[in-house]
Amino acid sequence: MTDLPPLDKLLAYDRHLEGEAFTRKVMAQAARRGHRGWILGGSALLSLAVAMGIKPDNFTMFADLRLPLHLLDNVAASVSASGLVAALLIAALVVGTGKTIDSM
Amino acid sequence: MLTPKTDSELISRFLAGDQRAFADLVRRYQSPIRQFLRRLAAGDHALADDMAQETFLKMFTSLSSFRGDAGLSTWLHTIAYRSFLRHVASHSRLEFVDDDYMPEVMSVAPTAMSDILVEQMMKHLSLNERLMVTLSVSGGMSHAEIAEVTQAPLGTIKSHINRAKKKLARLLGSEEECI
Repeated sequence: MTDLPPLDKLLAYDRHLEGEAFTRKVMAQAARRGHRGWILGGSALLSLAVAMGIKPDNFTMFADLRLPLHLLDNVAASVSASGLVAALLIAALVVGTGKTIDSM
Repeated sequence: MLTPKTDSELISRFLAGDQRAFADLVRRYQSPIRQFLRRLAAGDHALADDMAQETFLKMFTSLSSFRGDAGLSTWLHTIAYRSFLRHVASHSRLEFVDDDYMPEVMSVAPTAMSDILVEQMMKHLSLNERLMVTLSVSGGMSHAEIAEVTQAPLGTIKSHINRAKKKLARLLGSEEECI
């Protein structure tokens, strides 16, 4: 063990790691993260609408709010049973897609 | 001639929607953050790069909350360190070796293998020793900056750094004074 540099010199980051491939990978993942917010937000709203449609009585706490949530409630309540199943399938598909995107 | 943008300029441009500014920040900090994590991971480059990627993705989603009290580099090291700790807590994939074990790479060290040598030597240190000696000696951070990253008291930081340097010096067969 001869000719080793001093400890401080040995420990220094004196090498620049090439980073183009790494940067491209991060940017691609960041774009997916950006989309994920919309996907999850959309899924959450859809799920809320479905839940309000199935069990509208459980959402009476919103009645006191002067928000147009009753419109959402009305929309959800007007969806037929087959429509609800379709909505659930869509929500599952969207969430599954989001997870798949994240794992890539 | 293009002048290099400051971190603040790049952050402002990114927050205004310019994705290229974010890419410039990644290019600027990827090398030190990846090397920092390679030291913590004691040579597990795949793990280090995964954690580095996670660090920059966290930066992507949280940069709007960056207040600039500490430098961006300190902030990124903090994120990297916490990501790494979370990973270690859930996967326990870190490798440690006994003090008296000398890695084989030591015998071929005088060539261009100092990075590998250092990463192998890190296996002889506890996680806190790896962290603090890397931030101090490799990253050039002051003890106050290390305290910012680790939330550890200054006395603890100094003692970890000294102990780490002594172990490393012993591994190198060096008699140099470390304190």
